[in-house]
Amino acid sequence: MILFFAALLVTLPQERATAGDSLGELRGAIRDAATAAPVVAATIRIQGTRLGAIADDSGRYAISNVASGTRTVIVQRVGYNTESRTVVVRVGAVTTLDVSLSAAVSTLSTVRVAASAVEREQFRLSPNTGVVSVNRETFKRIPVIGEPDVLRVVQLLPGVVATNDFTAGYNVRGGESDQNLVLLDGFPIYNPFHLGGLFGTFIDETVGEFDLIPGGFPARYGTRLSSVLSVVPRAEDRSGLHGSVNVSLLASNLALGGTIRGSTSWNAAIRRTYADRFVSVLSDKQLPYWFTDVQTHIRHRFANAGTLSFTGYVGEDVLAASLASFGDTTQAGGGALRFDWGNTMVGVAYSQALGRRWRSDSTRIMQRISQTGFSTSLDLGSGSLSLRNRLGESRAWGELSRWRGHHETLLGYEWSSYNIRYDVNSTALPRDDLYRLRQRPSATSLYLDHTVRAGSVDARAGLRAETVTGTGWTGLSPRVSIKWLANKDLAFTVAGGATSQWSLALRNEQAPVRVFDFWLSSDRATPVARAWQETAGVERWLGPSRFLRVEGWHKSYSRLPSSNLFNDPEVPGDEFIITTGHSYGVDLLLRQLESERLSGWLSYSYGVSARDGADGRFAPVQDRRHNLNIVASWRPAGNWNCGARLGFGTGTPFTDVEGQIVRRRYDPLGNTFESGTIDQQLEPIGGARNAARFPVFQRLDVSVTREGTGRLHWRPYLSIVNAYNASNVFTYIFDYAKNPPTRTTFSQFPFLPTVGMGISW
Amino acid sequence: MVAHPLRAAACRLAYLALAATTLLTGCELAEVSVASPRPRVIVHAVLNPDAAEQVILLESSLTGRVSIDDSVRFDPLDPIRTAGGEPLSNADVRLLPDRDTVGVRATETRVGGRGTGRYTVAQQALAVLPGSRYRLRIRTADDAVVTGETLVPSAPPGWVRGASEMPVAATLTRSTDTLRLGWAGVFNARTYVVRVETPDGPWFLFSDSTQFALSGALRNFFAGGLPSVWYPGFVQTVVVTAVDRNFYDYNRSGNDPFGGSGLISSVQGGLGLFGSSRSLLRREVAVRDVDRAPIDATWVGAAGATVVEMDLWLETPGPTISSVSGRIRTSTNRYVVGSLQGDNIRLVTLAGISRRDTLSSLIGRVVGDSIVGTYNARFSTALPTVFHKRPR
Repeated sequence: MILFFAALLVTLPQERATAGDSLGELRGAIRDAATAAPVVAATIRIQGTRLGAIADDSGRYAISNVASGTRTVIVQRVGYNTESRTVVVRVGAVTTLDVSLSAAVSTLSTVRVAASAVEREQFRLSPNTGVVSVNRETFKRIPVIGEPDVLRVVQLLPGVVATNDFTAGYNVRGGESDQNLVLLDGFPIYNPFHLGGLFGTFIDETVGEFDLIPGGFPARYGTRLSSVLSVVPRAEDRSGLHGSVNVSLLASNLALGGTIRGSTSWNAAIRRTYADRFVSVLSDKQLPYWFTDVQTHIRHRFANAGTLSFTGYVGEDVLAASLASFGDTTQAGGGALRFDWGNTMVGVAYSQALGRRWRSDSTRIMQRISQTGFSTSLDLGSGSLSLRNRLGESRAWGELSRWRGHHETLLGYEWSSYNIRYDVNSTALPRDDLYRLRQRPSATSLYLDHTVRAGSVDARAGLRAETVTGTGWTGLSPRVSIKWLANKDLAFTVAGGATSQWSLALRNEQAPVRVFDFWLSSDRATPVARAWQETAGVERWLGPSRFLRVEGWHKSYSRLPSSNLFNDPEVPGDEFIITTGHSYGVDLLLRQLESERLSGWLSYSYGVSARDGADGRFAPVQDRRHNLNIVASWRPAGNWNCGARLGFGTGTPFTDVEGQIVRRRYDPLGNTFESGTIDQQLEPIGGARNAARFPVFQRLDVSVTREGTGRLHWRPYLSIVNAYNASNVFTYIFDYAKNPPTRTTFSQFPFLPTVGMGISW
Repeated sequence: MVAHPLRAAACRLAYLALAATTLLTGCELAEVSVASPRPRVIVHAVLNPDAAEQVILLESSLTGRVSIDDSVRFDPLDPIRTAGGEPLSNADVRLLPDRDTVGVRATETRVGGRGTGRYTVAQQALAVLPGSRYRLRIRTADDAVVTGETLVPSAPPGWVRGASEMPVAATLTRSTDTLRLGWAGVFNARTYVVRVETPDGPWFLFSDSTQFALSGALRNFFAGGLPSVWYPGFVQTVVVTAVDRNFYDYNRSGNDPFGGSGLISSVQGGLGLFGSSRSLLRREVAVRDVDRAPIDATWVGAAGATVVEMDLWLETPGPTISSVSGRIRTSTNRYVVGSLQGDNIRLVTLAGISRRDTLSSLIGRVVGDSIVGTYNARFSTALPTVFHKRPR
């Protein structure tokens, strides 16, 4: 989202002018030296001051209130060499400074510069709290599980808990995993996972960077209670055709991109797995499953400084086979099975700088329109039993930004229309659907955010008004965030506000794996979920590329719908029961940016969560009290990169099983309970909810990558997950039909080496 | 009889993902012994006004105190021990009509001198009536008390005990027919259960409507491999019953495999079901199909003076292996299931309708218009080993 923010921030903070200062204004454009294309999101700083700006989509910038005289201007951008210019700023006049940036020869060196700039600029200029930005070069250096995966990296950030290895899903600061808003270029994605959550949907080659906002959201973000993950597509600004091919043990992807006449950049990528082929080659078992992703991003800059972009994503998981493939060979089986699910998203965004209007230094408008869908289709026995659902969201999101002096005002709206359909039916039962559900609510939000940057304080206050049809609910969500820069390296922050959520996942949090979520909307029976959160923190820079951040947080849930395990399919509206709860904790992040030979971070989180439901108070499954992740990337001499990740976490809660019940079905013919015609169905009897805990989790992953050079850039890697084969418990299965009774442990990832190769040009 | 369709689907998908991830990653398994937890009292009882006796099953939850032998043959008089459970004997089990404080004490069935946990109340001792309310009160030998209450679905005036259980014959040509059922609404009934007996166990579904149609293409989504519900050659029983809320809630719900909660119990002091059911109709459906495949014919064999005639159909064609079903025309209630792979045929004669109770197994080949095979040595039989095709 950094690029997106950057696009809005034509002019960033203005240092307070003291009486008697003679001020001027600096303006200009940043362009690529080779192609003359605008360089978006370049950082322009007046050396020795807090004055600066980030170039907009057309590469332009403006900095007002610059003290007159000779000034040194530093211009930085990822992928380019840093440029320094000396300029004479004239009193009461506009001084123009255009800078051309030349592409960096060494990728590594450019990474150092850019990463430092983004984090440092956020520290200096943004009142946001707890935001962690990770760029592409960083997450590509982290050991992978089969495939480089953005969502796996998110799991390693402070405040984030992954309940086990088999899910790329995540819980942020005690929240449930459906409370995370995932945006791709500002457009929502509902189930960004493949294979039961084992992999994320984003093709890493198409991702430029991502931001995780774990709390203290600005008012522009709504619809989720816990966090915002904003994934920014990678923009290919080089001329000509560029691309990459990546091959891993699980999948291959092809990414292509380039620019057209310097004003249009595009990229497209496709990925498909071949685990199905592997399994059939390596064993006599079948895994008739695969997934595909197609992702594209096109951006065109108009001469009038407007930018039009298109983002598209299609992902599909498919499980298709003849049931005979699975069954007893004495049976023909029940025909064909086809099960597919996936996301579709198309979005168009337009932003336009309007210049000085409405008594401002600068204004800008943005409009986004998108259609997001998630659908599943399960067809057993060629229509004998089919389950289909589709969640569609049509969304419009617009924003007007205005800057004047030390003030920045953001006025926006968001409107979404949802279409949710669930159908269970059978072609062999000529009757109405076995199950049918329709929801078509729409949600409208208006928000206002005002930021003041005065001296050493950055303060933002916002208000978000929301209403959802069909719920009878209208709510106000105030947001406040204040940062006090005690000195150039030390800042204190506090933030707080309310959040609301009306798209709810019907899920059983006890299940250790989830293929995907079934989403429903709030209605008259299920209220809109509400939470309040407060944070307070301190951030200290320990050098130009190293910082320490500590943040305490608290969340309280006054209305939290959770899945009702006892609901009656014949009774619409009882899918959820209302719980309340709270979470609190402390996050610590010590980060060494990519400016040294050794980079990475140490994140530690302490968190406590409790929920109050019909069965009393319990700890939710994400209640991991201590969570430590150390991520390191070491670049020795030459083109080698070594990555490592050490994870440690105390056990998450689970419900102990205290016996089993033999489920007996009444047979009215014989007035008996079964007659030996079917296997006895055993069901566990749970004890107190989540009163037990799994043992401590620990895992070390290592990787080594060789970075090639030249036109054809080869990048082979070896990655080892769970290098010392630690036994981490995934789940327990109990058998009380034996004497003595037994408990079987399913482990998480064992020692798992993977290799892969990337080629780019 | 499924829980919420979305949750049931999610649960199955979770298992699927668990299996897939296990397959992909080769997760290691480790088994350890654990302590036995405190046992719970489990009750299964459904009052049926048409039945000659009311049956209450009383058992302990499985806690690992004893090993369950699942290899024993099912005995309807010892239905807990022979079906994976641990009976609770010597309990004081009473059925109490509404406002009665003493009730009728149930008698425990004993097999081989041992209590079975099966308690019965004969109709002569207590005639359960439609539309009436009954309570269950149990005091176990360990002094645990379990209670429950049910309201039996009503019946129209003139109701005669057992009349609705009288079978009515029907036929179904599987590829072309739909079996349509209709019945009068029942006061006090929470819903209706439509149940079909199949070789793979019963197929059942709740219906709030008083009309129901069952296509010949129906598949049994409660059985592994999604087999057909209707098997050509078989006479399959279809019953419709009216059930109370307790029955509905218990059978539509289930404990989550990971968290162990979700089951809706209708007894206090224990777990289980105390509900009621009343039969509304019963059909004996003779299933057949259109002859299409070469195997679809009558096959006649002789062994000495014994002549055996079999009607066979290709039940479900498969990509490599196909299912076969049929019946022995010369015996009553003798059905055949099997498979056909190329010329190789395997035919299993069943003792009843269940695939589990087999009488003989013929393995052979289809050679032109003949089936030539041998019987599995496990079964001593004097049945013919050569059959000749005769068009139907």
